[in-house]
Amino acid sequence: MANLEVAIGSLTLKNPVMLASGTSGSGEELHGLLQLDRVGAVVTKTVTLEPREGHPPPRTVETASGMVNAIGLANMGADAFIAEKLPPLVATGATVIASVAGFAEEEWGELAAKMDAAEGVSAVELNLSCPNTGEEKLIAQDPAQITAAVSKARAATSKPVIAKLTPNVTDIAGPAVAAADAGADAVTVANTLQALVVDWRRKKSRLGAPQGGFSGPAVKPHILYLVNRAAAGVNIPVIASGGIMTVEDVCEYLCVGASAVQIGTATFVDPSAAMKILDKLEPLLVSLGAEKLADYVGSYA
Amino acid sequence: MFQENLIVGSNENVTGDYYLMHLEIGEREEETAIASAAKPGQFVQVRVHEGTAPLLRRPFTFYKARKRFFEILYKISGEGTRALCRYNKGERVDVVGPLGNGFTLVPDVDEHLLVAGGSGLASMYLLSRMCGRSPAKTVLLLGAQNKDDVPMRRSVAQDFDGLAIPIQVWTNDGSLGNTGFVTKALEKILQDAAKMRFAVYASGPIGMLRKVAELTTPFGIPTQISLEQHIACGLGVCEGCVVKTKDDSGSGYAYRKVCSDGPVFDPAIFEGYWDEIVEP
Ligand SMILES: Cc1cc2nc3c(=O)[nH]c(=O)nc-3n(C[C@H](O)[C@H](O)[C@H](O)COP(=O)(O)OP(=O)(O)OC[C@H]3O[C@@H](n4cnc5c(N)ncnc54)[C@H](O)[C@@H]3O)c2cc1C
Ligand SMILES: Cc1cc2nc3c(=O)[nH]c(=O)nc-3n(C[C@H](O)[C@H](O)[C@H](O)COP(=O)(O)O)c2cc1C
Ligand code: FES
Repeated sequence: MANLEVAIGSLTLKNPVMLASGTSGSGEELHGLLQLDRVGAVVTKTVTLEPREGHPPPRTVETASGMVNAIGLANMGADAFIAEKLPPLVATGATVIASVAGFAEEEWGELAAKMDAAEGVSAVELNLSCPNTGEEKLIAQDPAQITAAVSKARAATSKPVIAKLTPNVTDIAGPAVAAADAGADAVTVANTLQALVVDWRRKKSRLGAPQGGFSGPAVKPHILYLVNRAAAGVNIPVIASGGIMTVEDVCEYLCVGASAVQIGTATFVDPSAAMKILDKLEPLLVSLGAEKLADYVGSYA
Repeated sequence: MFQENLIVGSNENVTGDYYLMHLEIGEREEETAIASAAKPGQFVQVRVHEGTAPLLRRPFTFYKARKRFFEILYKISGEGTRALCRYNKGERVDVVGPLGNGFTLVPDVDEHLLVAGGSGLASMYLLSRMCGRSPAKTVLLLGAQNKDDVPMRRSVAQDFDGLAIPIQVWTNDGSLGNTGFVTKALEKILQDAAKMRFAVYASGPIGMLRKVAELTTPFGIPTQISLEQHIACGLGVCEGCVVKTKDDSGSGYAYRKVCSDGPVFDPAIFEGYWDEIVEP
């Protein structure tokens, strides 16, 4: 038996396979298709202080081995989430990581404080990188803003804080270091890639919004590169998110330095993808000679 | 909601671009949980291809559902449905369902009017059977561009023959049945028998659904329409499939999810928003 446990700050996850934010709702919708208490953690859909209606449809377009979405961070707001969605999810026995996004600097502290008080939330992921808010520049593209947001959240909660970064930067090491220095317990690499899907006849976006975020298996080689760069730059765990479909994809990420992974678009393709991966991960690590997960993480030459 | 790996019993051309796929449970099992729970108007998310292109599942409504199998009636309209039609007898297909809210039987009416456009016929067989359980008469109005878009052939035709309900076929070019829009037929029926109590159920292109709603909702005729939009998860988790509707108070608007709030809706909620709903 290989030990699959992984530590994110003070939190120990039973295994490194999480469900990514925005692709598993509040978890509960997947009940029956997936044992939520088996995955390492469920990262819930990003919530903001106020409810957001999101972008006009269409909101998703399939592309070659991937998809582009412009959901626009549609959510019911942090308070409604905590009151309505969180309790049934916690009742399933799942380890819950709550994803939040602020706009003004103070909001990161307010949101982290709400999640600090929320029973059943084990950690907070800061979505510094949503490409769908209409902001010109993403917070995760600006180390100064990363520092500000992470510091505010860090001060407001004793629960582990994870900074989710954007792949849309020239060098991911800068943002990763900024997050670590500001007190993040881990970084997630990465959110979706900024993308266009074009209706050239109508000379318009195929989405209701002018642009969207690109995800799915097509993005994996690029995110592997970023995870490897980030892992070399920081001493905190790097959580990989990008195009994972199979256990082999997970091993690629672990090998280049990820301590844990998140399953996103794959859940749409196969709602039980995370469980299928988990079934195979432990025996696979054993066959690779690893007694514990950490033996294999970062083993890439 | 269940995920099952079912066996293709058959996957045959019905006519033109239409195919009928029969998916059944293995010999050793009693029933497919999906088929056993299926209601008219609900749908399944089908993994049309094992690889990554096409990537996402494709949604199809239940054409027929029994204990040990269900069938989908689909039209080839792109890469995903083309991949689906390549499955051979004996191969396995991964399916998730039943999903969404289907049609509900309207009580205390004289006649159930079923209006289908093109591939909208797919949900009408189960629906007709459900309506057949009420004492009211059931009539099917089937519209299409032309005769190639009327999948009322082979086993589908036999299935509907078995129901023994009146069926009117309307094609825009008159190549089969009556000439004109199927909604014209609906309009005439509603006018000719203004005293009858009708319930209307419709599935088809957005334009047809809009016309149906305009003919029924102002007159308080109970109506249910099945709407299609691009589906990513099909499970209500991604917020991707929304359409703009009136909100619950009726004073503002709200986005509702086709996959989990629908796909069957009361069309009254779209009043004022039809122009913003695009054909997927
Ligand atoms: C709830 C529901 C039930 C449906 N039931 C049936 C049925 O029983 N029989 C049938 O023939 N068709 C049905 N459809 C439509 C069917 O899902 C699409 O025709 C199919 O997804 C097209 O895929 P494609 O790859 O062949 O086409 P493409 O156009 O190449 O597909 C590209 C993308 O657009 C989406 N898309 C394209 N057309 C539609 C559409 N009309 N509705 C939703 N998404 C679309 C696809 O899912 C895919 O993500 C249903 C749609 C919905 C939403
Ligand atoms: C439809 C959709 C919605 C998403 N919503 C969120 C979100 O609310 N918050 C967030 O941090 N990431 C969100 N993401 C990004 C995913 O969590 C993930 O980081 C990204 O899709 C890359 O991983 P994948 O290729 O495995 O999907 C969303 C992705 C998709 C496809
Ligand atoms: S398709 Fe994901 S919520 Fe409807």
